[in-house]
Amino acid sequence: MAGDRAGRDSARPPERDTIIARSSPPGDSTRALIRASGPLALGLVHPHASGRGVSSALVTIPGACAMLELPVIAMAMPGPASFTGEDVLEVLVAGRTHLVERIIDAWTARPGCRRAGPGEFSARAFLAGRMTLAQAEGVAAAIAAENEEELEAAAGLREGRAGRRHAALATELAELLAMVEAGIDFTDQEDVVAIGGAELSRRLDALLGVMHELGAAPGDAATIVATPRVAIVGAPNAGKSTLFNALLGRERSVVSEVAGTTRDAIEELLSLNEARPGAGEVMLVDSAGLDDELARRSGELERVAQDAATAAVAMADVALWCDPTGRFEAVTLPDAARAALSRLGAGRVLRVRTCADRGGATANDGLSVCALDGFGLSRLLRAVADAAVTGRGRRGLAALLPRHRAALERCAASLRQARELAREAADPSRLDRPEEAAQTLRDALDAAGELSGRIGVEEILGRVFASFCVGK
Amino acid sequence: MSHAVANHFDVVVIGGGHAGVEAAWACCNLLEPLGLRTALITMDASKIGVMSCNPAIGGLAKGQLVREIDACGGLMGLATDATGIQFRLLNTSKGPAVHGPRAQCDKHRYARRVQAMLATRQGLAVIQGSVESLVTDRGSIRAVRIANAASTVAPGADGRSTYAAIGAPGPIELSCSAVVLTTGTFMRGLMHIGEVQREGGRAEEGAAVGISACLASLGFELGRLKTGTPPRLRRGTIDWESLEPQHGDVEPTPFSDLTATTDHDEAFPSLATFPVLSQVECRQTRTSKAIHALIRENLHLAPMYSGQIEGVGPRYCPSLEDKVVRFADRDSHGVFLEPESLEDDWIYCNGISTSLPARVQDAIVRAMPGCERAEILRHGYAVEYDMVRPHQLLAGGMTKRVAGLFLAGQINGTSGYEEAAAQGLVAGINAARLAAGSPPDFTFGRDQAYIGVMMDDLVTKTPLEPYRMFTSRAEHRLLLRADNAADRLTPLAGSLGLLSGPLGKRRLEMFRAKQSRMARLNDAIDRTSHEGRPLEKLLRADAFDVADLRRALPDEPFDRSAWQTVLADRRYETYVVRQRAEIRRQADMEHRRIPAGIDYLSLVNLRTEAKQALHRFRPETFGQASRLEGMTPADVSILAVVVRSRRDATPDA
Repeated sequence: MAGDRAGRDSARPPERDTIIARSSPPGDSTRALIRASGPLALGLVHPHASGRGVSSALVTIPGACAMLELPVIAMAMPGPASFTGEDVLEVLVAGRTHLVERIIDAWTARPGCRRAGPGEFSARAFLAGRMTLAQAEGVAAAIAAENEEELEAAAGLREGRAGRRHAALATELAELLAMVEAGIDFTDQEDVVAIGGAELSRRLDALLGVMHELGAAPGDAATIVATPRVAIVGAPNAGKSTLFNALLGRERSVVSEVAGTTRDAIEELLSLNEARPGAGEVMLVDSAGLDDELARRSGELERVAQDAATAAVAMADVALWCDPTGRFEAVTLPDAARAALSRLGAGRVLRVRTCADRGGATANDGLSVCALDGFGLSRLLRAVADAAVTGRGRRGLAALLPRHRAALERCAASLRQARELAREAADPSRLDRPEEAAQTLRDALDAAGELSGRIGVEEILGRVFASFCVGK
Repeated sequence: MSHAVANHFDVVVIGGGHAGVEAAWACCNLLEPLGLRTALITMDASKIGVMSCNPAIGGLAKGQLVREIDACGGLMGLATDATGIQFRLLNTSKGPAVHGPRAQCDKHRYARRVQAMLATRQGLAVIQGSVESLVTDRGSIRAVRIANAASTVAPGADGRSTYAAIGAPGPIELSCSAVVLTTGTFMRGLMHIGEVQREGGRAEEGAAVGISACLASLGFELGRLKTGTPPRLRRGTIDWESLEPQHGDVEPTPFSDLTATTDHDEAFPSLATFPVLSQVECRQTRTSKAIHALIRENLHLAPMYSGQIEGVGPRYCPSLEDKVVRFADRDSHGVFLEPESLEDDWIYCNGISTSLPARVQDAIVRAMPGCERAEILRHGYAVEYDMVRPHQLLAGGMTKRVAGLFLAGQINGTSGYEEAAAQGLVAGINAARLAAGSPPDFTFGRDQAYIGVMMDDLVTKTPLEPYRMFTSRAEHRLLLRADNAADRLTPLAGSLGLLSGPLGKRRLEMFRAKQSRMARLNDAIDRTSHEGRPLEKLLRADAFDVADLRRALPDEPFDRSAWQTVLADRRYETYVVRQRAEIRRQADMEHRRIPAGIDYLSLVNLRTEAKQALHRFRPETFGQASRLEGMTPADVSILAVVVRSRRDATPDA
């Protein structure tokens, strides 16, 4: 009897994705290193390159209004004599994060190229026999650690406001897909009313609107990644906005004696170079006071503010936990915020006893500051700089956010394609090509699933069975 | 033990339902040329190929399964074409990827047809008896022990019994290399009508009691499922003419490509005219508010709600009592009255599967328009049965625990004749391979066939209910169409050896002929302009059909099958090109094998969730591993590193 895979398309060698990632630490720096591995790697900078060597070149990427040309240094290492055993290209570029991310975006937009997953270079290197057996344990551990960091970062993102909006997006998409699938698989059931083109296109319009907002959320993802985020957190009226203004050296937040004045998170770049030469900038974030009681029972407006504040903590690399009493009781914080603080770990949560001028309890393990006369501010800035350096080394968010943004873009592209199909319907109460619409919606859902967790066929079928009486 | 090992068969198939007969048929296709023998054991040989529930084959996604079975030289499509009494192609208002051929069959003729087809096989012995236990030796199947009187029923087409020794009554043991176990609803089958319970897997039949205990003692994890069937009515007592009719297609579509051709193998002369039997119509009636109220009043008598049934039933095939409870806002549900045969006047009530007490069923039926005087010939009932949780299977149908033991059909937690037959095909192929000395690891890819999607789903997911195929389960749905089943699978079936007989040779010829017609048509399309535009662009329009293509290419020789496939390929081209690229990129990981016997719980770098998923499912390939719930891509990378380092560390592995 013939071989196992007889008849399979075996003439063509298996193609592999070319994986691309920034391999220098996240954040702005003088030089950044982008690494690519796979069959298309060598052609990324010079279309027809194939040999080993170092060259300088210009990389063209789409800019805001025109194409940008960036000088780079490219090091080509053809396989199998490379780190991963595949063709590898390493590219040195100016280390501005948004440029690095744009180059990676441009390359990963090519068919067959994508951003590397956790530990993927190491895994390929090992599988290609480029590492010894003794190193295997280390490789597995390294992948596990990167995975853990990303999963943690993803969990943090999911808890924030953006995360909930992503989840809502995925849910609506799953609902739409279920309605299209119901019209395909259960068309002979009297109870099933298939979704029409007009209805589908209307709901896709709404979805695309939401996605546009998500994409335009404050701060470009690249900037968010590049700059360590320092969130000022604490109970309402703990003096957070006063501290925010004092650290910036100017009035940015509205300061009021009325608790709960700050509703939306406010962000400003803060240079730490004076406090610690070479420390660079951080993004200072002021947000609403966190209060477990408020989060539980207040109205819509307060809840939005609480959500924004919780998201700010979840996204932070460093938290300044303000408490004028110096007691720092975690129990007063909402669950999600408490979880986010504990994820950051002790080294990146700085306890700040605000309003030192008011006297009272002495701060035993916190930094005392008085924003009014500047007492303790420079000590605090140095502490922030030190903590931010620790935070900067984290890969989780840095790797996750660009991938998320790319996933959102893929999702939107598929949705637009689905909307085209929905609009084409000759009779708006019907859908002419439901199997094609379903295909594009499924692509969109798969992309959205990278942000909010995979949604499988079983769940789609579950929605169908829950909404329609199928089975005649 | 004088009777012990009295007889040897290379493969023993247990059960004569749709899984069993397809398994036996595939075994014959593969083993007859090698002179190897297959036995099919059934409790009652007259029940081989019986349609226990709705006498219909195919439908959405299920129709694709039948077309795939047929492309692999299977039996189901041919038997359906020969005995269909109403053919309908479903979903024709949508694209070709989701068209689903369906046929209602004459249930008596279908079963007889299947029995007659099996009787043509030289290498098959049908043995009547009930299997007591499976005999294993060091983790491998060695024999099957049959408890009661066993007799040879179908000795072969030449009419001479080659296996007369089995004729002696009494317990016997058949030695074998492989067993395909297809228990259907018979394994500890328990039927319910209201509070009345009776052992058995089907009305008026018994249960298989020993096998469950035997499987449990071999260490298998068993589960319990439930299914149900509606009441059957006497046609003469229904006011038939008062009800709205539902007709079949004017131009019926056969399942088998062989049926569509005019020159047939002489073994199947009756297929030369299609449809063979006179065609019937169905009628529609409805339930009402009053009926729903009646059901609510009697809900405490329904085994599903009284706690009498512990098995899990399917959400996509709810009983009438389920419909009333779960969709309380509906005043009425449609009921299709479908003739079961030309030979008797039994009518199947599609839509009111129920296990309510008989007197409640009487009241329900008589409250439906047109059925006021209807006589119930058989009341609806629910049946509970044991199954083997399918994560214990390899995707080729063999159990991980016992080498040589294959499971197919409802025993794996599926529902439906077509799903059962498709598993029978896979199990039959691999059982025959094992018997012939090849590795029993043949699988269809998820990108090759619905059959592959189903087998992969079974071994990588935890089913919540009896598994039924839907087109939405196939991520490559636009590739896996009914029209191109033979294009996808016939060469593969040929290389496996399934198409060595005269029918098989005919299939291969037809495949090659269609390929050349498609190539010719594609050429013609690419060099033709129609109404001033390239034809290649025009035919992507939604409304462009085969008739339009004929008008555009009047001089090209017409062949419906080839033209439909070309048109469908062109229509989905952009999606298909992208999907194929994706498939190629993942092929490396998808098919890379994971060695058996890894102690996943002891691995240090994997997350607990991943370890537990791997420990329970023991995937065969990295593709399977990546589809387990709880696995991230990074977990798969770690697994790859672990597997590689183990291989490198043990030179003889």
